[in-house]
Parts: sequence; C-alpha cells; structure tokens
Amino acid sequence: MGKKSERKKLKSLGKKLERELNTQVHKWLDHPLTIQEVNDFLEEHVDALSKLREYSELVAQQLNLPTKDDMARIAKLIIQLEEKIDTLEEKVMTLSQSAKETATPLKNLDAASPLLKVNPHITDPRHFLYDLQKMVEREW
Amino acid sequence: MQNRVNGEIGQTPRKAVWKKNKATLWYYPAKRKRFNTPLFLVYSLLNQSYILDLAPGMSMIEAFTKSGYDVYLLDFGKPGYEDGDTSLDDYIFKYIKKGVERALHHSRTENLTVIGYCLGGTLALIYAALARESIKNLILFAPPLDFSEPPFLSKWAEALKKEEISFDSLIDEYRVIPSKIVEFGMRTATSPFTFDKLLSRIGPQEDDVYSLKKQLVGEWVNGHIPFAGAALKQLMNDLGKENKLIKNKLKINGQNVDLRKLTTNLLVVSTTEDLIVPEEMTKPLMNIVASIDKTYKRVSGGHISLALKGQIPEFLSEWLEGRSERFE
Repeated sequence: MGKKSERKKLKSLGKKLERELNTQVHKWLDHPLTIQEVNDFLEEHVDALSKLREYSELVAQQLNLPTKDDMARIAKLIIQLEEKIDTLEEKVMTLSQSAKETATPLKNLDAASPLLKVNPHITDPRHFLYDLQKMVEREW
Repeated sequence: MQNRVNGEIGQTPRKAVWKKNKATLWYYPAKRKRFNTPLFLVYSLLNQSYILDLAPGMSMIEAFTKSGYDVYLLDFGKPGYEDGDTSLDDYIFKYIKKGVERALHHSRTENLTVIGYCLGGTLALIYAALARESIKNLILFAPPLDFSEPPFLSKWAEALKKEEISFDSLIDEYRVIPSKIVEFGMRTATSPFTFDKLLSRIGPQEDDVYSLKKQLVGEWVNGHIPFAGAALKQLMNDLGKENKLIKNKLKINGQNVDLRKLTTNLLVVSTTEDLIVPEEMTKPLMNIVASIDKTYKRVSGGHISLALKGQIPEFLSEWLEGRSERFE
C-alpha cells in the first residue's frame, strides 16, 4: 500500500513537472524577442542554404553530375506520365461502363430493332445483322 | 503502412484499388456486408494513416468492416523532394476527388460517406464543398477549421498575421519539409517535454494489450511524414494567417470554397482533451453550413482516442446506420 501510494505520488509529481516545464518553454517561445531571434536565425539559415545549393549546382555542372533538382525534374515527368495513363484508364472505364449499359436493351431485340423510329443498324451492326436474319427467315 | 512490430500493424485484410504517385486507395471489404454506402476515409498530411488500423482490436477500420461497411482509405503516402509543388488544390482534385471517383466505380454505388480525420477533415470539408460527386454523409473528426484564435503560441500567429515573420522563403528553399522538422515543430507547439515513457516505468505493471498499444502509438507519434512545401504554405497563409476557409474566401483550383452551400448530412466530432485541435477551431463550422441534418458531438478523450478504439462509439454507429443505405 505504501509503495503504491509512493508511486502514485511520484507519477503525479512527474506530470506536474512536465506541465510546468512545458509552460515555461511556451512562455519563453511565445515572446516577441524570441520570435525576432528565430526570424533572424531563419533568414541567415535560408541564405546559407541558398548559397550552398548554388555552389553545389555549380560543382555538379563542372563534374557533369545530376543534381537533386535534376532528379526531381525526371521524377515529375514520370508523375505527369502516370497522370496521363490515369486519365486514359478513366476513359476506358467510362467507355466499358457505357458499353455495358447500351448492351442491355439488345437482349430484347424483337421489341427494339424493327420498330425503332430511327434506323438503328446505321449505328449498331448487330441490329443490321438481326434485321438481315429476320428478312432471310421471312423470305426463305 | 508497414508491419513493423511483430506483424501487429495493419492486420485488416485489404486490397489496393488505385495508386497514383505515392498515394494508394485501399479497399477493406466488410466482414458481412450490411450497408451499401461505403466509407471513404481521408487521413491527415502530418502523420501516417496506419493509426486507423493499428492492430487487431485497436483499429477503427476493423470496427467499421465488422459493422458491415465497405471501407476505402486514401493514404497519401510520404511526399518526396519532387512533390514540393503539390498544393492543396492537388490534394483535393488530383487525389481526393479522383479517389472518390475510383471508390464509387469500384463499389458500384452512387454515393458514399466521407470521413476526415484532423487535417484530413479539413481537406474532406474543402472537397465536399466543391464536389460534384454525390456525398451522402460527411463526418469530421477534430478538423482544424477556424484559426481566429490559435490554441498555442498566439504571439507567433500574431507575428505571422502582421508579417513580422514568414516561413515562405524557408519552405521554398526546403521544397519538402523533412519529417524530423515536422515532428520538432509539432512537439514544440504542443508538448516540448513528455515524461510518459519514463513515468509508465514507475507505475504498476501494465497489461500486455495496454503496453502494446502504448508502444505502437509511441512509434506512430514519432513517425511523422515530410510535408509538401506548396501545401504547407497555403495552409499557413490562406488558412492560418488569413482564415479564409471559415470566411468562405478560400479558392481551390480557381473555385470559391463556400461552406454556406454545403448541404450534405454532417457530423462533427471533437474531444475534451484535444490539445492540438480544441473545440474552438471546429465548432464554428456548425453555424455556417446549410446542411439541415447536422450534428455536433463532443466526447471525452484526446486527439487520437477515437481512432484507437476497437469498436465504433455508439453515437457514431447510430448516426451512420440511420444515414446509410441498407444492403439487401
């Protein structure tokens, strides 16, 4: 029992310390002076990074080596290509879907084909074959 | 999603139905299908989506499939250096919209339920406001939407608004923010010090399931992913600095995101102990949307508590069942 309560006490102390430390860090961070200091540091950091990149590009050019940007450009081309394939795949999906939908009425050709107001075999050869078959049956 | 700890992570059976760049649309079939309306999950851009399928008995996805829903999860993957130009417009139109179209085609249904978690909720809301596809229900878990009163480091937000500080040139230089910097930023903004691991050693021996859960969550928390620079700039400037989303002034692909026109059934959930996205960032949405069927629910727990439950909370189960088409 004694050990249990000691552990509990220690845990709650730990939690309290964690809260206190976090509050202090946030207090220090959330101060205009800190923000200004971080901003100054970031400006220097960006400047250094930019110069480093410029020099590395210069060196890579001299050594005839591809840079990270060159690799990214190739990767982007592949992504663009993938997008184009994706678009084509979508179109195939839409076409096969509509083919499935238009195929259904043909099951009932007797009702659909000969009595259609428009001439269906112009648009669908199956109607033409069906009409031809019926005509042959009638004539022979 | 990988199996990293004794094969525990992500055990729910799934199949990839669409892949694009680093993104994958996963399909988790229902154990015994009871509903025709599938669920389409959108996760945040900050962390890995496997938190939704952590391990058997600790998985939101498993719970959904057990309840009879087909689930689609859009996993954005980890952006690389070449993805620095990926903007919010891209995430909405090239990934979420396309993913929804694929899910609709795959499921052979006419509509679905979109569920967004954290920043994924913000993306899901933007998409829903612009979507031409039929979204039957929209569920948002702790989405950061209103940035008028940031929950932490308010002076930084003020300095950003006054343009005393800007991260634009830094983001441009990095192109993609490395995961370690994302982790450092998130940790500094919320809890720079955490003694959880240390304190758990003091207490009585935890049971196996609880300690496994803790270990897996710990790994996930430290497993941030890189952030595409263009998207981060938009989030910081358009949403964070100018609060354009909640003011209905955000433009995506040249289209105005007008939340006042959103009419889909809406459920918004926030949790009591959420340090990252408190209620104030979420609740204002309820007074803006035109949805007649809208519900706001505040439940006890932290930012990721609901995702870790092995079962669907009762309020969510009731809400969803009543608004999903039954499978005959």
